[in-house]
Amino acid sequence: MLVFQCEDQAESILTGVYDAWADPVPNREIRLVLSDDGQQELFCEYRKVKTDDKKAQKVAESIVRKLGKWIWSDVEFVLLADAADKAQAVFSYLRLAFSIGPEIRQQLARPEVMRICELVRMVSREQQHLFGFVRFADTPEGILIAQLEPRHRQIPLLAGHFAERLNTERFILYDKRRREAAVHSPEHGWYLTMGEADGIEEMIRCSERDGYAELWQVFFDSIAIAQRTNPRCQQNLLPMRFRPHMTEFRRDKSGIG
Amino acid sequence: MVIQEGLTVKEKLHILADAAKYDVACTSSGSKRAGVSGRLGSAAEAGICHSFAADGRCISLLKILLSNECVFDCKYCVNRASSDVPRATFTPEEICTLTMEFYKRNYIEGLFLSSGVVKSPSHTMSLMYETLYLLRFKYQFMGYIHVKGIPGADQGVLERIGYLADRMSVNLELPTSEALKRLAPGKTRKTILEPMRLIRRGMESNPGGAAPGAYWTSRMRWGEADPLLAQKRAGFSTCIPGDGVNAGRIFADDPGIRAKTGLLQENGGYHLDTAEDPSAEILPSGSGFLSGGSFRLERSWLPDGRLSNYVPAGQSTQMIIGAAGESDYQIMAVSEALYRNYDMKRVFYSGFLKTTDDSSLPDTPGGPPLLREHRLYQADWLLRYYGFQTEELVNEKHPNFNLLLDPKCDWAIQHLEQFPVEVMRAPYEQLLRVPGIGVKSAQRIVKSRRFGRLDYDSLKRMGVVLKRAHYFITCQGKLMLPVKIEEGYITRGLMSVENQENWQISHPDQYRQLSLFADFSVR
Repeated sequence: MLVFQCEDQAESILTGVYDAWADPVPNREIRLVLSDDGQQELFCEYRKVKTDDKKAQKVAESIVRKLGKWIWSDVEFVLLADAADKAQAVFSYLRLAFSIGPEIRQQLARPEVMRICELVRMVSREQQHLFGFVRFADTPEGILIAQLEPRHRQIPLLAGHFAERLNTERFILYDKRRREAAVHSPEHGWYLTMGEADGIEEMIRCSERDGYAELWQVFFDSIAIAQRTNPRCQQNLLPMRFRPHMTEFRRDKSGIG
Repeated sequence: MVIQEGLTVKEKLHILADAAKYDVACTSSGSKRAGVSGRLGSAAEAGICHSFAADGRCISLLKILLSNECVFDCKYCVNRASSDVPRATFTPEEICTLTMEFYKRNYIEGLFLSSGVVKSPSHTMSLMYETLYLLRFKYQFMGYIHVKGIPGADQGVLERIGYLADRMSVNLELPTSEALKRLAPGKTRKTILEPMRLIRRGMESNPGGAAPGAYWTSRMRWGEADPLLAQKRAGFSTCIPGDGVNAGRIFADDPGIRAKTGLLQENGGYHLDTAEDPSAEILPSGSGFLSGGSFRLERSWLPDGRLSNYVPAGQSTQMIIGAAGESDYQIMAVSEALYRNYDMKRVFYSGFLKTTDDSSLPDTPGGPPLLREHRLYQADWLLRYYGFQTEELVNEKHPNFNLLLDPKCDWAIQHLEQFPVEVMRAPYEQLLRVPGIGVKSAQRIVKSRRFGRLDYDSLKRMGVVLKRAHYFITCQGKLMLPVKIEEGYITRGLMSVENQENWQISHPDQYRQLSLFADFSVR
């Protein structure tokens, strides 16, 4: 069996798909794994994928052309997921999709399709949550800054949404776990950036004095009906893992962080 | 009345959010508006929940009263004129600033503005109008706005404000007009239904007519035999702005429900919808909808640069449950009539909680009737998305829901002759009636079964709740477990599934003891 080891990057996984597709030996069993994915197995030939943007581009384009934008959007979501099996899931799904065509999306009884659906649902559910749960705080320079620690890579999926509705504002969306940020200004739109973490974390400290945080906490407390208190329901709908970065749950110091 | 001078914004926010909390609705759905360069805000069709309060309710909008001063003396209301609570009033500018600053920080999806009745209903509505006008035009706010209609307000301001808001709601308050008379002396059925009707007509005057809510959308898809349906179809496709005649036809009432229950009739023979075109009575000629006039100007001004629609996200309403001794049948019949005749997007149910010490109201020592409220919402979903009709669920013989079983399971057990259904073949409508199969899983089944056989494992992964569904379905001709299709047996099986859930709904603030059998599947 031939095993391709990909980096946890969209381009790398798509390059892996390209290379696996181009494998000259017929009928050889092929798997794609993420490179830090545990132990190697016996009787397998391991190959490190060398990320090639051109190959990735080709795969992406032929998905859009032959399978349509819906399947491409599914694949895009899965490539951002935090799941050890995502490279293999994408590969086996695409192999099937290219032989069956766009109607593969309806064939939920196939395990390859069901797995993609599950992964898409995981990522999009967190995205939907974060559309609501992201909290910005204002810095003295008038830049809105939000910090989050999403399970899946969400910054690319959130930036467009906020750039549209907050198009009048300068803002930064910062993924603390991956040290990745989206930076937006009214003049230049938004772009993704890595490795500006120190400057951003300094700004976050400055934003903790935002006075509206306290007003929001007052509102949050006043709007609940005491006789209906229901922590279990609240926790189902607003899981604990989001709360450290939400203004209304940070009472020791206001702002975000 | 305690009137306080010189309150800070923080103190006002505390008082006026606290006073607004008994309003149930906090949804931000129904409007889809892309962002516009240079203006703050957009609207997402499905709505976005921004937080969940300690009572588990969604916080989507900045839900506040403009003022909690009130000249009305409704007996159930914490802000009634004779109530001894601190009073406060926001200025329109204060509300705008709060909305804009909260919105920027992504705390909220928009504003939900309601108010106590200051001086008179019309005066209050004009203050609310002023606020919305400032927010839309001076602050260029493009987010979601839900505004409450005050019964008895002048129709001119109701018409105007509908072009600035996404959603409007007028509270029905109590399901019967007798109870309304007894408990809300300042309001009558007529002053509540008139603005509702006005809002509906405004929506019908939108280009393309009023967008149908879930109730009519699901019925239209099935094309069932329903005398109103044909009219609805015609109405939605042919309604053109200013066409009062077409809109008038939709007024045809559903005589069935009205005749049987008499619920939506005003005492003294006032009818919800009279046979004649009532536009003459409600909209004197010269008012905005029918004749254009000064009104159109206002429409084209909206800050997104496009022609705005009237109440594009539709209207909703709410009823208090358990304050006046009404049955579930009465409540659901009223809801269905509201969906059918008023194109309501949602009817909300608010379990009664005594906040005043009025002796004519029941005490609520155990808190509000949460399980009953839950059953009403379940039934409401069955009406709007599952094609059920009120009388199938509750009727004169069984006027109240079974508190032990959810309404869908209860119905299925009463109709075992229709089960089991074969998932590979059953039509969509029939799948929807199986307990444990929801709208999404039914759609997934129909979509995927064309391409191959389904088994119980794939049903489970599609979201079917097999612990409920397995009594009622076969898959490729086989039951999942050897069950008896027998009422007592299935009831016992479903009750063991539901017991725990029911207990949790009635005791929201208590954690339950873990059970080895139920929680860890030890058998």
